[in-house]
Amino acid sequence: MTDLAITQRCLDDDLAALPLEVATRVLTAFEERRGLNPESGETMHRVSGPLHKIHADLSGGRSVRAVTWYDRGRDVCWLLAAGWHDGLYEGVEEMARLGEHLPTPSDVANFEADAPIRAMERVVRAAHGALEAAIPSPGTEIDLTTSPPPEAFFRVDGDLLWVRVTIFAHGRRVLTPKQVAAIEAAVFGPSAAIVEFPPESGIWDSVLMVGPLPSLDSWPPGGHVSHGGTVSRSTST
Amino acid sequence: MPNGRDDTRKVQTNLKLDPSVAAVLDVASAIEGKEKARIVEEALELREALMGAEHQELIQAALRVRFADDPRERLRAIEALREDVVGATPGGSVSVTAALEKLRARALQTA
Repeated sequence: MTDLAITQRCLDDDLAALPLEVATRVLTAFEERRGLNPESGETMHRVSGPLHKIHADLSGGRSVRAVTWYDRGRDVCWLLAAGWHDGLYEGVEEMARLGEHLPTPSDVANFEADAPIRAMERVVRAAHGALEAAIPSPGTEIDLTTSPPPEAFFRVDGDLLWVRVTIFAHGRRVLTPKQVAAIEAAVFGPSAAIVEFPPESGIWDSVLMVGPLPSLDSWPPGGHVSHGGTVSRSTST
Repeated sequence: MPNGRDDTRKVQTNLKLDPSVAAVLDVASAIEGKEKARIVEEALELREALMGAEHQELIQAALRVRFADDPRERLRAIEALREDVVGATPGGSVSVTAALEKLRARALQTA
């Protein structure tokens, strides 16, 4: 599953200049389409990349466009530009002439820092389908997300859902405590889950989480935040 | 947790500490009036407690990213979950989640 990211310039200059409803529509289209295929969409001519177009039109004949670029090395699709149809592509061509259309080193560093958030996004995007596949096959591990690392798998056992997340990949550690927390919250929400390192299970390279099996009808699980900002969690599993 | 298997497992009891660590342990033992082994045990208990609390804080932050109503609170939680990376900027998340919350927060500010 490809990661998605937005350049700081696109957010500050393009999306912030649009009405919230329109900007949200662009981001939704970006997630739905590039999340499935990072290189889909019509290719822009006269610019290197290649860059791909997104049509995110709204009712009332409002033509909204966006431009994306897939960084194969990092397996991430970047949203580079967005706005009303008129003049957007010309603006991107001008930025390309100046060499300013692709993510900056700061964007890339911020992308790396976002690893736990991206793990959470990947899990949220994939979890419903994985749960649908896991429920009729109890005891069988089902892929939740496998690329980029960390890999995560679902396994249903009665009323429990087991999540296995790999710690090592390609000879290095790929899981941080922040990623564990992000994945746990993405799957189980405010329901309590147990996280453990299984020393004697033979699965030496993974961390296991177990919690209540979510209902397909209401996934992702609901939750609430108190006025103090502390999220309540149940204590039973 | 003790059990039959653990009781019979051989453990190393004559740990060779780095001289600087051994010196600190000597001093702590003298000041606290406790056996060195007890001090090591307390240190391990403290580490476990700190790890537990930290994990709970991270879980709380992750849950706020998903469930908080206020976009500003979600943005603070996103920041708490980000890794330390050279060149990354505070508040500079490039994730879709953060972009949505930044736009929502700006809309609230201008409303």
